Amino acid sequence: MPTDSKDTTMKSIQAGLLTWILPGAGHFMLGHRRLALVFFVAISFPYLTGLAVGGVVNSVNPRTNKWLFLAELGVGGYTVPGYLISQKIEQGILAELNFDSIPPQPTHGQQSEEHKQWVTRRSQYVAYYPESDMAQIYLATAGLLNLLAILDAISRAQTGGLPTFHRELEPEPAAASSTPKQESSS
Amino acid sequence: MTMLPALLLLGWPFIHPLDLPAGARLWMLLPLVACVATVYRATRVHSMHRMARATAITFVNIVVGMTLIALAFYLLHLAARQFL
Repeated sequence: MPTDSKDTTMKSIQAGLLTWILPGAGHFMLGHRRLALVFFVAISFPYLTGLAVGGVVNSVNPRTNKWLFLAELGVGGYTVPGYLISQKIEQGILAELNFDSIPPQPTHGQQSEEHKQWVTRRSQYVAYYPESDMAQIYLATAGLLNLLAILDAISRAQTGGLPTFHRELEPEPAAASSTPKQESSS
Repeated sequence: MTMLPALLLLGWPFIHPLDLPAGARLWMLLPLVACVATVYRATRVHSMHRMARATAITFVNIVVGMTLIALAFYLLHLAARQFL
């Protein structure tokens, strides 16, 4: 019995981690192939659309929007490489302009010449309103949806295939007799 | 080394943001709602065969709800312009 419990815990951790790296991968590991495909498409599509509309430099960057970045971290497998690419591009721009660090944003008054150059050079990688807003909504939604997918993968690993909200499910006509047994075992 | 141009080509749309036509912005709601409905329903199904119908119902519910909220705000906006 303790070995079973350890196996279940390990399986849950693996499923959660795999789903965090790639949406649907945890479900795939558990044998829910079609569900894995559904999660992969339904989460990757909004994430990649948001990234294409917003651009990786501004969209996956804790310096420009830390709350968005936090939401995006729900899909770690996309956000971590995106963050590294965005940092690489910014470092490239800094090197091109011969700046040691990113010029501070003016709080009041006139913009410094350095800051103007930085904004101008960076602008080809940045989306502006309304595209930027749309991109943020898509990216944040995808990140948060993947948290649901992670919970679902963990739940299915622990209960042997039952979804996250299985207590609220109507019993299936064919499996109606087996439903109480499944619930009591979880 | 031969992979590099292909990777750069794949990464191009994510590095240089795409422009959306002005009329497309509102319609971008629909694919997002479809994704939300799909994931929400996927976390509540035993098996896949019931999922399509449940997802379609959730999709319609969200779109109708959002439309009603938008209409309510539009009417509020008109009323505010009229009376304030």
